Amino acid sequence: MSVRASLRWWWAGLAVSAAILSGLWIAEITVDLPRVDSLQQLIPGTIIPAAWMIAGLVAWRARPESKTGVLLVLIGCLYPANPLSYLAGDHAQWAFLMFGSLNDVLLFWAVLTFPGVPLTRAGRVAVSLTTLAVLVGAASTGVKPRSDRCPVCPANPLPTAMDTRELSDALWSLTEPIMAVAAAVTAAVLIQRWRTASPPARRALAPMLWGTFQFALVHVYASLSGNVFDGRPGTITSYSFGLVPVGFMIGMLRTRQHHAVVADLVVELGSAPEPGRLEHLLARTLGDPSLQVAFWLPDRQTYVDKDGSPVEVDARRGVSVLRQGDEPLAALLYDPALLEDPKLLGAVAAAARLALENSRLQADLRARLHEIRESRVRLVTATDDERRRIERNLHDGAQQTLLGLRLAVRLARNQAADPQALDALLAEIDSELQAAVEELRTLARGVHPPVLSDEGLEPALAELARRAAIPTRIMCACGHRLPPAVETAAYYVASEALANVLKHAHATRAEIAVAHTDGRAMIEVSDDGLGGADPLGAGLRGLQDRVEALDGTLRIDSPARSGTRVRAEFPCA
Amino acid sequence: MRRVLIVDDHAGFRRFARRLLQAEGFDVVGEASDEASAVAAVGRLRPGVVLLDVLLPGPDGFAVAERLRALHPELTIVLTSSRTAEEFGARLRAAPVAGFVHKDDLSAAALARAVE
Repeated sequence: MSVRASLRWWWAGLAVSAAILSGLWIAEITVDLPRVDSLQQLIPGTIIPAAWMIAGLVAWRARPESKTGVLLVLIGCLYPANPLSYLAGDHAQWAFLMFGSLNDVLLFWAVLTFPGVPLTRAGRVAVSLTTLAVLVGAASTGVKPRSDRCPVCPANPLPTAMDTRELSDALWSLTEPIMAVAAAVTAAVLIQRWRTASPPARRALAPMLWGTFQFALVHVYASLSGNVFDGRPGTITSYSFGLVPVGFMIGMLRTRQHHAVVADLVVELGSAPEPGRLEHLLARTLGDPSLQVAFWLPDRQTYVDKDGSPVEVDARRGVSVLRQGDEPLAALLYDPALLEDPKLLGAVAAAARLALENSRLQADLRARLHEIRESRVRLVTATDDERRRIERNLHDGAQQTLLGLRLAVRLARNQAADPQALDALLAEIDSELQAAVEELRTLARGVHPPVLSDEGLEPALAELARRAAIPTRIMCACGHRLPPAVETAAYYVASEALANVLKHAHATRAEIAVAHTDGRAMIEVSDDGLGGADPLGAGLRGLQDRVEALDGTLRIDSPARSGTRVRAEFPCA
Repeated sequence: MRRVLIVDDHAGFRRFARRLLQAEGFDVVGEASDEASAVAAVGRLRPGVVLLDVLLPGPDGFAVAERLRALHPELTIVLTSSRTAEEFGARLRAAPVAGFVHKDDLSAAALARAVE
């Protein structure tokens, strides 16, 4: 129910009760009441039903989903039927004498379902017994020529053919044992509820129980002393009856109060507590020291407690599974007595879910940060390795060739006297120099192919394919240049993957596909080789770091004997 | 003392070094490119001097020098590199070799000086 609708009910209820009460009060003070003992008896007669109605409305507003409020309001509305029946004449008064104690049924019902739990089987027995007692009592009154219990009551307006006083008395004598059994069953139900209730549930139950208990005591005392409570105001029993709704109201407000602790919980959970602290906070809020948080491990498909030990989710305990999408986050295991307050439980579970989601996000973030730190180290290491490789290549290649050529020039100087030998030597020097130049060119291309920056990815890939030892097809479906960083990364994915194909795959052909759609650039290198590539190998790991540095993803699909597919995707507007 | 074995992994350098040393009066009896071929060549050709490059694939010149020295104590070993003697520092001073010739300065005269 929305807040606005519940407010409308609240005002409507308030208006109806105000109308009933003021009508009653006006009737009491203006109408001549010959049969009523005194006006003093009637004034509490408005206060007592008012207490029930107000308590009912407060309860109704506090917990609109609970029937307790409605029941209290009904008890309050039925209560003035007694003084009203005095005003309305003999028939009405007789009807009240017969059925006025229907209020007992409502009272038992309200006690048994407070603060909004369903009737148990024993509870239904108690309510049925009370109804039976009321009906038997009504029958007793119905067949009685004149009520002895009420000196001011009128004669039975129903036609009675014979003297049924004895039948009436016999019926009446049945009502008290039936009521006693109903009261005993109710007491048993309440004791059982008290024993299994969580501390907050007890805090709510206690005022209602005290209110009901004092009324039961007074009622029993009055019955024993022959002063039967018949609903007439002004007696001690009626004042005691007027106190009952106060207990209900305090109890209802207490259930609301402990809803307010959820707000504190949300604040405390905001700091994403450790698992043990989270469990402690939830246990404290729900007042259930046995509460346990079971964390779901998706990879092991099992619940563990805060220390990581497996937890069995026992259906005999109360269980609330907290989910994120379809996946469980955790489960709360608690005293089933807490199920009596689904609203509180729901609020606490929602707060816990937020905190757990928060913790999971933080853990996720920490893991990502860790991964980024590691990949940063790997990137730096890879850069250093690359520098060493270049130094080594320069040293072993071109530098040695050039040093050799210096020796050759020194040799040429010695051979100046022999033009023929000198000529041959110079030709040799020339071809060595050419080899050195080619070697340097290859090395430079390995560092960064000039065609990539000058002409773009497709010509650079075409050049790569041309130099590859196996037929390599290029399928390029993007007619424009990509951002330089993406082009470079894509080129290295292709060049490293193709180098792997040539080294390990024993493939007969390879294919490089490039596409740029929906803000993502994709490059895929596939071959028809042996497959079984290791994604954690240094080469592929280095590629992965390079791709992820641009927020891209690298996927390696390499089933044994079915070729390898290396696919990189980059966000690319 | 004029029989020389050249150990260097770069064929172009070996070729010109051989011809230069030969032109200047040394007898270059063979070439090798790494430890294994060097050990085999020394055993087979019995050179008096080994001109040994420091940066070889696999065990480097220092390790090869130790090995050759252990096998042939009478052998004279001269290390060479495109790096300078200072770059090798203590390792070079501790190596069981007669001397060091920078590749830039390689000539029969420089080799002869190192051997002495």
